[in-house]
Amino acid sequence: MKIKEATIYGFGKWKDTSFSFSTEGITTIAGKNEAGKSTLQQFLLFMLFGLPPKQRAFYKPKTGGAVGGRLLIELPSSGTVLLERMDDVNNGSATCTLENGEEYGEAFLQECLKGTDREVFRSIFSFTAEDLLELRRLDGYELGEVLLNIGLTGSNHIYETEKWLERNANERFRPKGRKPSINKQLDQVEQLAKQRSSKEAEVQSYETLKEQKVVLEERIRQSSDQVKKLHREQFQYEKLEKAVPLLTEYHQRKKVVQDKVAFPENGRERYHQVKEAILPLESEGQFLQQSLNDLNVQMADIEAELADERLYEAAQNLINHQSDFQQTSSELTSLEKRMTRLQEQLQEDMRYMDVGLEREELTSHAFPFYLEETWRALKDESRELQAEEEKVTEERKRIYTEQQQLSDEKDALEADMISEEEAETLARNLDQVMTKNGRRSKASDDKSTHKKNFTTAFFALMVVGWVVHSVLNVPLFGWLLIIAGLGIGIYTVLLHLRNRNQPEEVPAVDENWEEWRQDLQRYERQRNEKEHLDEQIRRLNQDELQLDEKRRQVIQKGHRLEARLQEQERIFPFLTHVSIDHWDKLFHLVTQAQQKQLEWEQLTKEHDDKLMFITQKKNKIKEFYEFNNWEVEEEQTSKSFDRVRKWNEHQNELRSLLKRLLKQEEQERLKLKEIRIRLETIAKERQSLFEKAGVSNEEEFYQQLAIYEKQQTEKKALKDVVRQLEGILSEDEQGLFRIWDESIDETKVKVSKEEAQQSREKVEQELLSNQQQLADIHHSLSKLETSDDYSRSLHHLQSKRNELEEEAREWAVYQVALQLLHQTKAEYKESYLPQVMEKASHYFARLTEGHYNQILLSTADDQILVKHKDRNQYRVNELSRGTKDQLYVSLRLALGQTMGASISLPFIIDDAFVHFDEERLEETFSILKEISKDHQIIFFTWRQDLHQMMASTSIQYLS
Amino acid sequence: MSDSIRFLHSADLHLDSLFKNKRHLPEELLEQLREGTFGAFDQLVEKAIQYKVDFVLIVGDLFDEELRSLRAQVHLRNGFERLSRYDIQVFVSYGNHDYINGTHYSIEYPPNVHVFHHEDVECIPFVQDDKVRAHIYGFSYEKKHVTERKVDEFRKIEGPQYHIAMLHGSIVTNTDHDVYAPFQLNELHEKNMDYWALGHIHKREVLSEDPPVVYAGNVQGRSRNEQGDRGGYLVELEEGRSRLTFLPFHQFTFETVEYRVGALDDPGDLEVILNQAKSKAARDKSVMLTVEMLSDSGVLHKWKASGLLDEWISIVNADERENDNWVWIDQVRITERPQWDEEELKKGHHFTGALLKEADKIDAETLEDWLAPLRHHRKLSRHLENWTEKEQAEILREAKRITIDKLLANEESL
Repeated sequence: MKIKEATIYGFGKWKDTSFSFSTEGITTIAGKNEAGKSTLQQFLLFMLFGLPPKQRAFYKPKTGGAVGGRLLIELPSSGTVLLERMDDVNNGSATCTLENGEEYGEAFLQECLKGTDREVFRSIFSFTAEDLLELRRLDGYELGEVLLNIGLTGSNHIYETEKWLERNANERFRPKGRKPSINKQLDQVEQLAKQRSSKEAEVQSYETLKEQKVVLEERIRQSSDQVKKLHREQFQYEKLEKAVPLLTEYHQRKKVVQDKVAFPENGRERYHQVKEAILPLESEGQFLQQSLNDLNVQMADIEAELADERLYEAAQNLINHQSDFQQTSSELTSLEKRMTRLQEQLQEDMRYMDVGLEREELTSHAFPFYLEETWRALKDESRELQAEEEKVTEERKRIYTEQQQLSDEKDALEADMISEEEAETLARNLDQVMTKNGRRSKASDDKSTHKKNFTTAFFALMVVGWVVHSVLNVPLFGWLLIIAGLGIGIYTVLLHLRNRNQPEEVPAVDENWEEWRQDLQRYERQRNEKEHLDEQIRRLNQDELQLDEKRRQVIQKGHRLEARLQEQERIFPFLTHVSIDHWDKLFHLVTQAQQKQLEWEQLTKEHDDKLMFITQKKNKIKEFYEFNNWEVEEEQTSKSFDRVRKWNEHQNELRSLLKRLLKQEEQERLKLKEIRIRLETIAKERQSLFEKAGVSNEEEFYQQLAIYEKQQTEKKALKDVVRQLEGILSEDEQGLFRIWDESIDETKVKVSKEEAQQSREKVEQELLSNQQQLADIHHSLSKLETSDDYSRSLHHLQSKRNELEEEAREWAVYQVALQLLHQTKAEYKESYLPQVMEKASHYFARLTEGHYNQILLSTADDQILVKHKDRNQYRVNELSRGTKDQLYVSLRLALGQTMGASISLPFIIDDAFVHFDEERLEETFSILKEISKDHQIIFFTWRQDLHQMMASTSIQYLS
Repeated sequence: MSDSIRFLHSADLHLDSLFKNKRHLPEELLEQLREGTFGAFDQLVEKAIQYKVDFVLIVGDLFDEELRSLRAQVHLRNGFERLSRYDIQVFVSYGNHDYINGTHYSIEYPPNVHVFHHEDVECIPFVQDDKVRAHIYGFSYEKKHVTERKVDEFRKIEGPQYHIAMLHGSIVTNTDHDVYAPFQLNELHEKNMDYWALGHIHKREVLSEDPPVVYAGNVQGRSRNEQGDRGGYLVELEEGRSRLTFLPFHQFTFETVEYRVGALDDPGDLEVILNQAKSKAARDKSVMLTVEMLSDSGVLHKWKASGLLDEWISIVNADERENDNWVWIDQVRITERPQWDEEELKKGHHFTGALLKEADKIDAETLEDWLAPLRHHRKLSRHLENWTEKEQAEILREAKRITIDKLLANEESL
């Protein structure tokens, strides 16, 4: 790239100024200080690489107007390009206008510059007098390095950077250091880590503590159990100690009691009871026996006095009959009186009847109850028969009279009557006149006929009824007929009443008709009367016949009655002396007499019987007297009876006494037997008591009892002791100490007690200490549970670690940067340095007129060395100032040549050779001339004369 | 009593876990950080009580490390006891950070706590008023790594109205984390559960709405990798419907604020910039703040390198110690456009290009060698974590940057 022309619109002191540059050779721009050389340089850099706004503002023209300008550049690829930058256009970015008018931006420019930026450009393509001044400030060692870096990059920035990185890295960390921040922090972190570990250990003790807690709790439980146990043990021994005297007594008594004494249970009482039971029984038995003996004597006496049984019975019999005897005697007397009276009455009755009957006959006839009836019936029958006969005769008379009368009436009627033929003629005439009314009249007639028939029946029935009732003496049937008759009568009356309500309809036709009718009526009436009379006559005739019949019946009845009367008289002949009319009366008298006769006969028989009875009894008494050898005297029978009675009473007394005694004897015997049985039982019991006591009699029994009772007393005492011991020692304790088995040694008990107490106290001590420990653990646990210490230490540590981490990271960045730089440098050295060194050696030889012919790199410490023509090698700091400058210029030019090989950019040199002498300058310019074949060179200088020396292509003077 | 059921779903308590700070913390703040996970758990307990939940689910990683801190266990127990007083039951499963066979202290939990003790999936009934209201399914890690597909073992046991599964593991598609008990979403759906309570992934996420498949996330952020609000879900299930409400439990959050910086002249400007960055972070909570500074100025790195930035951060942070809701700047990350173009530099033959090209050739082994003095330092190595490849690459990039910057530093610095 070559700059052909530069036009400044405004930049620093420059405004609307143009500069043209030669594209071949060297363009010199000369001007005094403050002439604007540097500003022009800055403008060129601005145009190529741009500037940040702040710096653009710095270059704002004091006279006003915008920063900006343009460059006309020539590019090998694109020809001439117009590059323009304006501060206020596109933020100062470049516009590239090609010859063909195409416009491009910054990117196009950068492409052309091939990655060269302002800094690289400055380090490779531009060097100034100031660079040399800077160089002079450096000391020897540094200079070598810086020159190397300049050889590498054209500037000492690498060196600066390297140092800076190194410093930063080291400030942060040095593996063995103490001061760097990481090292310091590490100490803190380590401290915190230590703290954390100790806190962690504390927390981890939590589990251990918990385990300890469980163990301790268990231990405490065991200990407190043991304390309780020992306490109990101690107490037991204390009690045992108290019980020792009693125990001694117990075992002494136990020895005594151990021998077994045979004796029944409650032996004393039981034997006493046996004895008490026996005594009364025995005395009662004896008493009973005595009494029995007495009884037997008494009974023998009575038996001797007792009469014979037969005699006793006889006496008994007599006494039993005494009252009968006396009664019979008095009855006999009264019987005789009655008999006498009865006989007198009978005789009177016989006389009164006077039918020729004897007294003795009375009883030969039987007079049954119906006889009176029969006799009375016969009397009534004979009277009835008489009456009937009279009635028949009377009737006969009446019928005869009536027959006479009726026959007279009939004759009179027949005389007054018209004949039958006349009557028929009349009737026919009437019929012709009245045919209609005929039927009705006939009906009326029928009715009246009907009524008449009923009336007749009424009366007939009444009559028959009455006859039946009174004559035939069949009352019920008679009454029935009468009632029937009455019924018919009532009906007839009712019928008649109804007929009367029907008025007769008899229409009068004419006189004839009336006459005929009256005649006919009279005829009718007369004919009816005649018929009626006939009827009456006929009936009378019938009555007459009936009456005859009746009369025959009455006669027959009379015959039958006569036969029956005779029959009676045959049976009872005395009836013949009396009329039938008195038979019934006689019946009464006879039966009365017969009754009395029968009574008398009865009484007679009775009298005889009684008399025989009395005689019998009297004989019996007599017999009894004789048997008893009593003087039989004709005394009054009653007295005799009394004597018998007395005897009998005496006998009775004896008997009952004997009976009583027998009974008594029986009872006493039973009692005695009972007593004997009871005695036997008791004896058995006593024997059993003896056997149990192992003795055979009472004496021995009592001896045994004494022994036994003594032992019982011992036992009781032993029991008391046991009871007392039981009161003191519990059942378990009794078993524990085996107090019943053997006697207890008091000393041993005391020792055991002491031991128990001591053990207890020891365990209690342990318990206390364990409890204390547990409390401590509880405290520690709860402290740990609530403590934030560990957590806090962790977080502290973490926080510090985080900080450390950050620092470490920062260190890492510097460290990597430094290492990267080192590595790049080494690489760079290898690939570029030899070329640069060779070229630089060439220039350096020329500039030193061959005094130094080679620039080298010390292999030991990367220092630049120069080789003198005398083959000596010198370090940079051993060179003179001028030679150092020449070395620098050589290196810069060589670097520019080398680096610029791939891109041809203008060299901008600003008074870099100001201190060179004429020869050196000449040589330098000649080198520049060589270089300018490849690169455009723009040379700024304050020396107006230099351009002749270097024979530059063009020169511009700045004022 | 309604048929609905209400519970808190939480996971990854990581009680007493350590925090990641970038700069030195004052004692008080460190203490607040330390209390962070405990405070979050206390908040969980309070919310459970406040919302009168039926039970609380904690799906694994209750503790941070295999060595469960005693303090953590005691604190947990105390919290459970408090829940017990409100008759709130707790279902706990352990995860890869607190697997059962790891070391722990023998702290007993109250009876309201139901722990899944085995690696085989179990069913624990949730009994309320003598009635089984829900079946809770889950398992615990017995060992640190459970890579089996535990999802296959979940079997719904019919009975109560609700079936809730607790699963500490990662979805197959997630490649950011170690794969534990992997599952796929459709596999969970096939199980016909009413709710999938997931744990292990610290970033909360609702993977599916019906049925809810939910990562509750952890309860307290512990580094700038766990940014934003942290807590658990209040879940209400009723007749096939579900309502999820996120409840924050965190005591403070990690936040990042981006701040674009204009022209900078004076390092003193940093105070203003940092305070403005702070004010961009919420003030209604305590924040561990990372400021991402974006700048073209080119001086930030310089100021950082020179320690000026750190000094200003300290000054700005110094005011925060007094506040209840503090904002603590833990880190300022600088993203400054370099003054140079790496690719362009590489094209030239000059040193910077060579250095950049050289840097590309650096392999891990070389890096290891370079860092060996520190990494292999007997004492230091005990306290430092191994740097990941990413971190190492970052270190290298940073190294390149500062070197080039330094090499190219213009005249002023010379």
